[in-house]
Amino acid sequence: MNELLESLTRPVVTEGLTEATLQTLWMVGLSGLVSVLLGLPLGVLLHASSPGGLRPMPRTNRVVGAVVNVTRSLPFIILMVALIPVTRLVTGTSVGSTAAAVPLAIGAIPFFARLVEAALRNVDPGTVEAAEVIGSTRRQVVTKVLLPEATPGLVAATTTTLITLVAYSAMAGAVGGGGLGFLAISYGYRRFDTVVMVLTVIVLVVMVQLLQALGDHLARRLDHR
Amino acid sequence: MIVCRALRKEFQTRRGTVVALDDVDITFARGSVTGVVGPSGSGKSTLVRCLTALERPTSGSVVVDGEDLAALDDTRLREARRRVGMVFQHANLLANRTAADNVALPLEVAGVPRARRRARSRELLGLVGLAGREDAYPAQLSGGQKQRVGIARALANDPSVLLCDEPTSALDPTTTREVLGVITDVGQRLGLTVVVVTPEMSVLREVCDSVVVLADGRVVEQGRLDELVRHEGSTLAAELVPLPTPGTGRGPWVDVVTVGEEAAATVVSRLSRRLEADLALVAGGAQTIGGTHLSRVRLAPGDLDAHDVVTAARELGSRAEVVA
Repeated sequence: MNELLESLTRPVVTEGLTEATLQTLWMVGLSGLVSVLLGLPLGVLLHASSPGGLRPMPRTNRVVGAVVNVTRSLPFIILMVALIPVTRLVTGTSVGSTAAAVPLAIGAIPFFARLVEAALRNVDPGTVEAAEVIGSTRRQVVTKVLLPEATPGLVAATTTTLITLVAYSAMAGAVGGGGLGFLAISYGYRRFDTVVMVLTVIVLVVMVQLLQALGDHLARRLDHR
Repeated sequence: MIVCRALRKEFQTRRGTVVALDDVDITFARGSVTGVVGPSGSGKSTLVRCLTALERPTSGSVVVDGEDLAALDDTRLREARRRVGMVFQHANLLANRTAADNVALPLEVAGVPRARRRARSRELLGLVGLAGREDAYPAQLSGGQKQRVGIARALANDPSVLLCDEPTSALDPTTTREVLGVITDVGQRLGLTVVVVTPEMSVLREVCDSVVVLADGRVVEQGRLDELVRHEGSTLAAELVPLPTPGTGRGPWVDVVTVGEEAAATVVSRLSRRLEADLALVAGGAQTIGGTHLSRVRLAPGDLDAHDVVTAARELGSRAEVVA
């Protein structure tokens, strides 16, 4: 018992774990924000330009769709390494949590965009027709009908994206991004420090559970169907 | 008022050109309630989409209050659409907006200030009998109430035309009557041109004073309901008084359609007297349509020749034919 207490009061646990948790939250938060800000319009574009959409643009739809699919088909660890020059260009460095947010965001934008597209596709086409009949512009159809009606789906998409980002951020940690992934690898894996390993897992599980619970709660509250 | 002239709409499909509307001429008069009937695939939906300018005609014109929709650019078209209020089969309300905010949507789109929107949506919900339910979400409303909200929304921009696309097809009979009541009521109060597209003859019977019958993209009959049912050669009369499913037994039978209050009620006994024989009633019904009384009976001729019964019925001023 004493041994466990001792190992729990080591600086790597008391300070290291807190710092790593904050780094992970920073990576996920920053890349999540960027993903939503850029992925949302991209998702709207994918939906609107599709055949039978608000403004069908077959060529644009195919090109954007292809880019999205290519990005999504790359394993994140490869995408991250491949994007190092871009990361340097944006943040001036390729190590650290802020730098890691760049490939995280680029990986998550197409992911989120596809989820947005699916959420918009679930909006009753009858409501879009009702909006068109009263003389709405396309922009009004998007802002007054599509997005508000898809809100619960968009919240769920954001939750899923953030949770995926938590997973990706652990991988980013392995190659210089810091955070819980780095802690787990350098202590839990390389030094056989089971206590740190277990604690890291617990923090990650709690983080994901909280995100999911919060997302579900919000989605339910916003859903009046 | 809406006038369709030589309206034609083609669709290109993989199997070639499909003509959905073919040389359609219709006038929907101001203040009238016109039913548009026809089997599915007859062009009803395409006609609706042309009347709301969601679909551009291949040729011909749709003139609403003197303005040809086909000739307008996108911006003016959006404004013109506001003159046609549309009621949908499934209400098509926004689930994440309250009843009041749903009614206010057309006003929001048109750029009406918030205070006026609130007042107007309250007033409209009152008009359709939903005062006090302003803050209810569609999921908290019954099917009939949702459709009332849909009607209120259609009226928000002060349209001159109320276009109802199968407004009661998703409702039970009691709710159907309730919703049809609201439509005719607001139509009369606001002096609207009401168009009701429906596959149900009962809807036609209950609310319409005029009718357009479509088949294969063409207008096969149109006019005032009370005149059409009297008109020889109109197939509408028979359809408006559908025969209940007859019991056992085999034909030939004679179908007799009679118009006029006295005549419709007494046709079987008069026919029986004239033929000096008892005629067996197989099935029959009587209706009042647009103020005109109408009966339709199916008779078994018994020992008589079916054609003699037909001749006698025609001499009595009824329409008659032999059915196998």
